[in-house]
Amino acid sequence: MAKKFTPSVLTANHLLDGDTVWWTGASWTRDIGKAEIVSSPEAAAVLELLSGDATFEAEVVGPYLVEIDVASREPVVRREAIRANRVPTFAYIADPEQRQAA
Amino acid sequence: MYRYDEFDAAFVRERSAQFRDQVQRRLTGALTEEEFRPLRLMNGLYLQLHAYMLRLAIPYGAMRGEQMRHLAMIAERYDRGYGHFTTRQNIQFNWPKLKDVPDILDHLADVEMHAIQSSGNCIRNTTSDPYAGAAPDEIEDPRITGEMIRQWSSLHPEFMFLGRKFKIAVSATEEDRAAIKVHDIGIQIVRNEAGEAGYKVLVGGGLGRTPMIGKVLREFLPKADLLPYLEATLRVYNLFGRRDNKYKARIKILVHKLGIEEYAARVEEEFASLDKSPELDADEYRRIAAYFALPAFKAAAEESVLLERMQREDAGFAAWVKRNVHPHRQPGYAIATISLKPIGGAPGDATAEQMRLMAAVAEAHSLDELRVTHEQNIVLPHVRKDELYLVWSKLKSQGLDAPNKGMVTDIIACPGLDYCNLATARSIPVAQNIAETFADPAMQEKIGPLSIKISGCINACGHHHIGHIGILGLDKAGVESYQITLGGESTETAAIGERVGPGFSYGEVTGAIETLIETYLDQRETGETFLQTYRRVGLTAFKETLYAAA
Repeated sequence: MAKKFTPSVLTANHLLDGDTVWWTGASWTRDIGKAEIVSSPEAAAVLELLSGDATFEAEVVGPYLVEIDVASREPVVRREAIRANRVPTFAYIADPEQRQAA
Repeated sequence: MYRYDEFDAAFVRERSAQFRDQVQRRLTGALTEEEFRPLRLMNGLYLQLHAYMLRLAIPYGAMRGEQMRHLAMIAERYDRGYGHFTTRQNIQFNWPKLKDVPDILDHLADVEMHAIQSSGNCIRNTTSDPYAGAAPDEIEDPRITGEMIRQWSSLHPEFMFLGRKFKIAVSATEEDRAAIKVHDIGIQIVRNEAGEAGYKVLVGGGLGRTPMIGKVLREFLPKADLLPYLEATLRVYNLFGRRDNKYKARIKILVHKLGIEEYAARVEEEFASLDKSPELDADEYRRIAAYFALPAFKAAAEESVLLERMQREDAGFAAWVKRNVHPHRQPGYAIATISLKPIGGAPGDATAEQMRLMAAVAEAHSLDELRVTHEQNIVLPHVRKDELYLVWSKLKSQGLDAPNKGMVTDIIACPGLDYCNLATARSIPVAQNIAETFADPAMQEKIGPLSIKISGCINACGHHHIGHIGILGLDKAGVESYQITLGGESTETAAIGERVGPGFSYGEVTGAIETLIETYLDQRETGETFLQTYRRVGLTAFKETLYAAA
C-alpha cells in the first residue's frame, strides 16, 4: 500500500554559512514558520523538480522535502526538528546567546 | 616537535590557495555542488545539520601552545567560541562559514597546521600514544614513525582514492594507549630477540558497522622496511578490496574474506617485488628523529616534597593527582591529563578561553607541548612534579580540573544527532545525563575505572564497541533507541563488546546504566574493576538484572 502523503516543506542548507533554510515559495528563510507547506503529492513533486534548478544551487546545498505537522509547523522527524531549531538540544555553554543570558 | 621544512610550508600554503580558488568558483557557480563536494571534503569541510563543520588534522595529536592559541582565535573569530576535540585526536569546528574557510586555512598554515586528508577515502591523520616521548615504558618515540607515515601518506598518488577511508595508529608500549587493534593498520614498536627495534604490524581492525579486532600481519618488521611494507599492504587492499559497496569496502572486510594467511602472503609477494631504498628511509628516519630529541628537562629529584604536601592539604588536588597524573620517564616529571569531561559538559568541547589557558599552561609548565587523546582529553606531557599544584590551580580557574580520567564520567561521545548529518540518535545529552547521575566523587571512586563510550549511529565515531559499556543510538520508527554492549576494550586486551539485548529509550538509558553499575558493585570481588568482573561473570548476570523488571 502506498504511504499516505504528509504535508511537507522544502529545506536545504545555505551555501554561504550552512544555515538551515526553508523555502517560502519565493525565497529561502531561516524561519520554518514562514515555509511554504505543500499539501499534495503533485505539489510536492513540482517542488522537488524546482529544487534541482540551477538558481537554487547558487544559493543553497542539497534541497529535500521534510514532512511537517501542519498545526504546530514542526517537522515530524526528530532530526528535522533539531535542524529547525538551529541549535543542539542541550544547553551548550558556548552558545553566544546563552552566554549572554547567563 | 616536528617543524615544517620549506617543502611542507609551501605545500600547505599552496593547498590553502587552491581551496580559496575552489570556494570562489563554487560561489560564482563555476563549480556545481557535485563537483565541489569532494574538493571540500578533501580539505576537511563537511556540511552538517546546522552548519559546515571543519575538521583539522593534528598529526598524532601533538601541538605547541602557539597552535592551541591559534585554535582559540579561530574558535572566537570564525566559530561560536569553542571547538570539539575528537576520537581521532583532532579538533572540529562546528559553525564555520564557507566564505571564511579559506581564511581559516591561511591562519592554520601560519602555525604549521591544516585540514588536509581529514576526510575522504584516503589515509587519514595518523594517531599515536598521547604519552609519546614521556612514557617510561616506551621502546622509542612513536611520533617519529607517525611523522614518517604522515609525510609518506600526504598526497600519495596511489592512495588518494581508496575504496574507503584508511586509519593508521602507532604505539611503542606494551600498554596500548592508541587503540591500535581497532585500526585499519595498527603498528606497535617492539624489539626482536637481538634487541633491535622494529614493528609488529596489525591489519584489518576497525569499528563501524562491522567491528573487528586487527590481526597480526607481521610479527617483526625491520624499521627501514616500514614504508615499502605499508605500500604493499595498501596496494593489496586497493587492488582486491571491494568498491561496489561502501559498507564492505574497508580493508577489514578483505582481510576477513581472504583470511589473514592469504592476505599476508599477497602482501609479502607484493613487498618482495617493490624497489626498496632502506638506506634512504633510514636516513629520513634519523632526520625526522632529530625533531623529537628529548626536550631540555631540568634535573630534579624523583619525589617532590611540595607535591606530597599539597596532596595532604588539598583533597581536590589529591583526587586529581590520583586520577589524572601518570608517571614520566624523567625523574621529577609527570604526565598530566586535562579532562574535557566536566560534569554536565559536552565531552571533548573546549571554549576559546579554555584553549588559551591550556596553551599558556603548556608553555609555562609542559615544555610547550600538548597532546589530544583519542579519549577526547588533552595531555600535558612534561610537567615538573613541583609545578603540578600550580598547574592544577590554573586549570581549576577555567573548570579544567575534573579528576575523572578513566572514570565513569570520562565518557567518550560523538557529536550525535545534535550536530551530525549521519547520526540517528543523540549522544551528548545521554553522556551528560549519565555524568550527572554519577557526579558524586565518592561514587565515582567506589565504581573505579570504567569507560562508557557512546555513538549516535552505526558508524561508531564514539567507539561504543570498545567501551566497557558501549551505547549505540539508533532510530526505531522515529524514536531514539539505545543498544547497550558490555565488555568492550580498546587496549592491548582489546575486545568488541557484546550486545546485552533489546534497546532502551532516551528516557530509560541512564537508568539502564545505573542498573548495570549496581550489578557490577553487587557481583565484584575485592579489587576488581568493572571489566574484570564482567570477564569473570559474563553477560548473563548483567542481562538478568537489566531486564528483570521487563
